[in-house]
Amino acid sequence: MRSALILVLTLPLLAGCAAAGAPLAAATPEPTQSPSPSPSSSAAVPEIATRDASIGSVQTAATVAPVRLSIPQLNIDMRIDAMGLDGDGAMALPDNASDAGWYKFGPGVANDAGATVIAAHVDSRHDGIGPFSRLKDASTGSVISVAGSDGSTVDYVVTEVRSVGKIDAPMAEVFDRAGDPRLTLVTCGGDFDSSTGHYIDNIILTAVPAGT
Amino acid sequence: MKSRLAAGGAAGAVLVVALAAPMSAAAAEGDAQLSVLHGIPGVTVDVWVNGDLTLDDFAPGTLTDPLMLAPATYSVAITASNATSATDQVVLGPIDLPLAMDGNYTAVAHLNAAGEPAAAFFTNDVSATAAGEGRLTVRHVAAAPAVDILAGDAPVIEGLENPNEEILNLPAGVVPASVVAAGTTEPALLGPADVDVAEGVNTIVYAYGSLEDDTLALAIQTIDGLHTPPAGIPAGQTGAAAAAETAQSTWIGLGAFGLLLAAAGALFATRRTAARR
Repeated sequence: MRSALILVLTLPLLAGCAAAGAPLAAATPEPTQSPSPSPSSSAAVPEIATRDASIGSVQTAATVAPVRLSIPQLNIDMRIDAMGLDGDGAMALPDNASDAGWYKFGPGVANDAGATVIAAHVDSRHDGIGPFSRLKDASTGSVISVAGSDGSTVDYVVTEVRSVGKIDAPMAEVFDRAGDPRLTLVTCGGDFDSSTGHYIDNIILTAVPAGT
Repeated sequence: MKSRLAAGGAAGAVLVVALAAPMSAAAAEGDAQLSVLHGIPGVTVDVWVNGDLTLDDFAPGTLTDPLMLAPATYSVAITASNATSATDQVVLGPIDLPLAMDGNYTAVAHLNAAGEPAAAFFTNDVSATAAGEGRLTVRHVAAAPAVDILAGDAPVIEGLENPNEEILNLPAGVVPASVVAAGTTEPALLGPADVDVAEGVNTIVYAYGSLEDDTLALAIQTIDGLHTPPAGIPAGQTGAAAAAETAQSTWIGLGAFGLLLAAAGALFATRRTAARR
């Protein structure tokens, strides 16, 4: 199931690569001397801004890592670790279900746009059933507080909790880096397939900054 | 610049342009993106596109924002900064730049290996990067021989010549990069400089200037939004949570069944009582 999914996801990407011009050298058009400066096409040229291109000029937007999560309604109060990917290209999570993981390549706390993604095991070989087993019971309007590594705290309000079959789980949407700023909490749910060792669903909770 | 642009757009020309490319005033679907980098030290220039002054007093080491352009072939000329037209005091060109639909390009005014002004036209790789990775593109546009690029002490690109590029897809992170003469590890011609190869970003580093004139420098351009999401979120390992759910609903079910039994029992007892009467 899983390999089929990856294959389906990968094929359009490969197609995209090819279309974008691999091999790159061959696809790079050669500039040619034109006989005169007169337009070889009559397309208009808009105004343009410029900037310093020196090596120190690239401003890396400071991402504030979330370090603690609390949902009073569900009696949840968890530490958050910054996580990347596992060996299969899936989001890596802390071993313990009692700890949550933040996808460190995506938006952080108080981001301008996109989804801050925090996930945790619903149950783990290390410490059993975790707090995120209660995520599915969250009520719309419940408050979620996220503390950042800079000492700030941002409150979010739950807008939606849904269960999505993993085969259909919209990863591009979950990990969206554009659009309105929001918090996305994810864990597993539904039936457990003991033959694969995986749950069949993802529980996806969406919250927006309080006061928006 | 604005006023000169407006003045240059005589009524007739504007009309022709508007008729031919009515959508080019604002970014439109399929537009190509063209950035321009000035990599010739010591000369401030003007850039003319299709005969119109597009960049006034363009300084070395400066990069433009991407121009959104309808796919077409554009004629670009680079002149001295006090030129009065695209054909006055020409430094470079005019050259034709063929821009394809949705293409992403950087045109670079630079020195060739012999130290003469030249134009390079690169197609930027904006294909998706793998989750967790960034892309590092290195372009040699300097008046200098072939170079190697070191990450720390190890060469990651070897024998790169003007005006070529090499592309590496790397785990996201900071690369301590140095530029050295090909086949050597020191002295560094440029750097070491920390280059942040951010996830989902094509970070393009240009080595420009002249070795002989001691004007070598690095310029940097970034193109973001190339990221790929993780393949999934496997967030359960044992099934204990599902088992606990099932057990809970079983007890609820048993409870309901028990009530039903009790009700049936009561009914039965009532009937028996009635039958005895």
